[in-house]
Amino acid sequence: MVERLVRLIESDGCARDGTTVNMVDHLGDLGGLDGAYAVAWEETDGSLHLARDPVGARSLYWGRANDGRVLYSTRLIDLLRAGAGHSRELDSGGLLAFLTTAYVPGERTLVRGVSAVPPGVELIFDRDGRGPLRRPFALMPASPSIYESEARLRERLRCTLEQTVERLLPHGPDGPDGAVAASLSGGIDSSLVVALAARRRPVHTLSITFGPEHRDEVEFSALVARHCGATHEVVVVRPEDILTRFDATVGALSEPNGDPLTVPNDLLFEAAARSGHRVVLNGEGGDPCFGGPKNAPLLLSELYGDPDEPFAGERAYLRSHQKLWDDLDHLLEPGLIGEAERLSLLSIVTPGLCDPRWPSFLDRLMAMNVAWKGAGHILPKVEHLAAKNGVLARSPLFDWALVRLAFELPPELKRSGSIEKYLLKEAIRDTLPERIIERPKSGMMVPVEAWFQGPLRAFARERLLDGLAHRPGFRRPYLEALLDKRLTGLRPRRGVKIWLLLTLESWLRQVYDSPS
Amino acid sequence: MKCSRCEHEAKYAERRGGTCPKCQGKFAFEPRTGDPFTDVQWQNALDWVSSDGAVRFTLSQLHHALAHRRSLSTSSRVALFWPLVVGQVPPLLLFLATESAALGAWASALSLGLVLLFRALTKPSFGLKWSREDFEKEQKKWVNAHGKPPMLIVPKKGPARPAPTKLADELTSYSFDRAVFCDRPETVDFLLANDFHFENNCAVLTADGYPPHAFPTVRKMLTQNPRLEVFVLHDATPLGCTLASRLRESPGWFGGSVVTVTDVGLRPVHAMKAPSSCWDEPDYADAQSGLSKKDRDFLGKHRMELAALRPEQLIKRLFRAMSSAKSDSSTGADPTTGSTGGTDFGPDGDDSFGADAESSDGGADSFG
Repeated sequence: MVERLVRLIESDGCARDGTTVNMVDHLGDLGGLDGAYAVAWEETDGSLHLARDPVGARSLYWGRANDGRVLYSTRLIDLLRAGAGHSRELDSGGLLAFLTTAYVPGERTLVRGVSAVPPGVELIFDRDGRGPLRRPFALMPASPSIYESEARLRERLRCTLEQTVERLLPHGPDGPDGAVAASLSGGIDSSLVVALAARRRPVHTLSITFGPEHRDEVEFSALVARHCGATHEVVVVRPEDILTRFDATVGALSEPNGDPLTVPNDLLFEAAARSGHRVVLNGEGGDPCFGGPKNAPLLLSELYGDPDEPFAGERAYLRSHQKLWDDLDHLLEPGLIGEAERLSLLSIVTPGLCDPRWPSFLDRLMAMNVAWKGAGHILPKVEHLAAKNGVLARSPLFDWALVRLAFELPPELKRSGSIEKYLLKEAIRDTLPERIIERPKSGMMVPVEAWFQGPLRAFARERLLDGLAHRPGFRRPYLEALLDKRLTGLRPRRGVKIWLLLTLESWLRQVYDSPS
Repeated sequence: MKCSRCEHEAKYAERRGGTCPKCQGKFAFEPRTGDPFTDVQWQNALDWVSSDGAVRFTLSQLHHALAHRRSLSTSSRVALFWPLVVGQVPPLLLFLATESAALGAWASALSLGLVLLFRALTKPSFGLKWSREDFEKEQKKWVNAHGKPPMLIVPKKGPARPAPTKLADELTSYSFDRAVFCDRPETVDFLLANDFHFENNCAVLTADGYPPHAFPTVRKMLTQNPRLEVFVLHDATPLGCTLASRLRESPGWFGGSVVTVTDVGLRPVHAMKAPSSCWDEPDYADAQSGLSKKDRDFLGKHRMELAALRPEQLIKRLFRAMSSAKSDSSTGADPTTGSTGGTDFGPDGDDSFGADAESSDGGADSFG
């Protein structure tokens, strides 16, 4: 029985039937809710409870003040400003994870003594602040051993998709002419959300381009918008936008996120807010939940790998992020991150790759992707950047109801032969042009390589050579080789690495150099 | 001689014990006693073949790199040094006899021109001149002094353990976008060691069952994608040059299917441009193989291995062939046009690869 609610931090939660709920009535039964929320409450015995929705659509961090009190916040930076964390010491394991993946997965953060509340788990501190005890309230379902027919599963998926999109539409008119805003890349995931929303409400779609000199997907997003009768807005992202917004975007993200799409996402949310929208739908979640293309290299790695080689699968999972794992020895002085830290990071991957709840390797990978990339990277990114612009991001394909269903689908219907997201495509085939359904995944490529050789070169050099290179543990010769295009290798991936390190430098400046 | 570890210039007297007087590191070679390389030259070859430590390479690739350097230095000494020296004798005599500097200079220039003309008109000789046995003797000396080169691919002793049955059964439901067929296991090992499969969603195998631990599963997976793109990477040999057509026609592989098979291997036309990278070895090229008479004649006497190409160049060329096939199919071009081989190989070809910039761009993880 809850007597005293201390703080309802963020709530976009709802009951299974889609009705909006008063979270206070459901604190003892969070597992029965869908939607996105972060809550903290105190019970009559003085214990403090912290919880986050099962997918991690809302963030929640906790740490201790010098006197041992538990502090919590949705933003890591705010928590540090309130005095949490052990002298704001950088956590070397968190730093290693960030350099390897561009985010910090799991409960660890970049600051020692500050942790993320894990999704779907209630943390309980007693009245003296001891703890936390952990009480999982929503576990990802394991694959059923008996499958329904493909046709029935397709029907079930379609029905859940329709209900989820319906439930996540804003109540009442939102933008001009009652239209709901949706980001649209032209890929299958954002397109299907737009198509299903357009059957219920007028839709205003927003896409991104980087100017005519760079490749984009505007051709496809325009096709979908036309097909769905949506009004379509294309937001142009220029290098000068990066210069003027980079620090503010990193600051808004709370924890650093090294994805080059952060600033483009920020501009897109700003455009939605400017048009008077409060809610922006997106297609995040299709890849992690329904068998996206990033699983393919790991399947091949399992196939060709030697089962006797220690940590081969774990190493492949980390390397599949295509960030700085292979460059660590060149980037860092030997003392900064030791072999023990690397083994520790590899060991964090092991339970996910071996989780006995899922007999299928693909399902185990997907469960890891939902927990790591979803809760640690994609969802916090859209959450915080939307909040920066005063709008609410909603991700139907990452909704708990759809995630649950995704894990009940047999793996061969997620990836069939070489077709990615097979059942998802089949479930919405009638709603989109064939060209959209059949096109291979290409992703939104931010032209960071060209930018850092051209208009953003001086910015990158100033930040990395005058900034990061002077911080303890970072090697200047590597940074110079990276900036001067002297990195060797088959795929140096200079652009994404520079972006990731610029993000780190900006975050360190904001948190450590000017903490006020 | 310079020490490859500390760069100290050690005089012969200082290094008689076979160690560097400054860093005490052991020298692998001593040119004064007949070794064909210095330690620095060997290290330079290792840096070149591994692209400064970024690419893994096979022993054959190192052998080729060193043999090529050895033949270059030998041939340039023989072909240029002596003719030049001998060619300058008559102008010198003319100068001494006439005491005319202008006449001497004119005769010297004429002599130099004749030497260069002779070089241009003389056909380069075929065949690498440094045997594998001799190379391996020198390689052992290097390993004794410096240890195994870090990027050298060492084939495992005995086959790897196959994936557990449960996993293998699951994998057979899936497939990949592309497959690279090689004509020899060494090329498969080279591509796998450099994560080519991982980077390109691509199977890598030989048609006759390599690698054995993965082959049965890979073969089943190949059948799951009717739109599979197949690339064939091979040496310039009679068997290699006919592998693509055999795969295309064999009912056991892709005969009767719509799968595209693109030959991106070495052919006689490539080998003819790089005679000093070829081996002189008789082989039999069947008249029914589909090869032209000119190619059969060439392959009957010479062969060129993929190992003659710089490893980085070989992989990037394959990347590029795949990118170009992808763009051909996305623009609706006829996919069969690549079947005769669209990749222009050459050991000294340029190293700029257009596909690289694209792979460096970022953000594909998100934005729905």
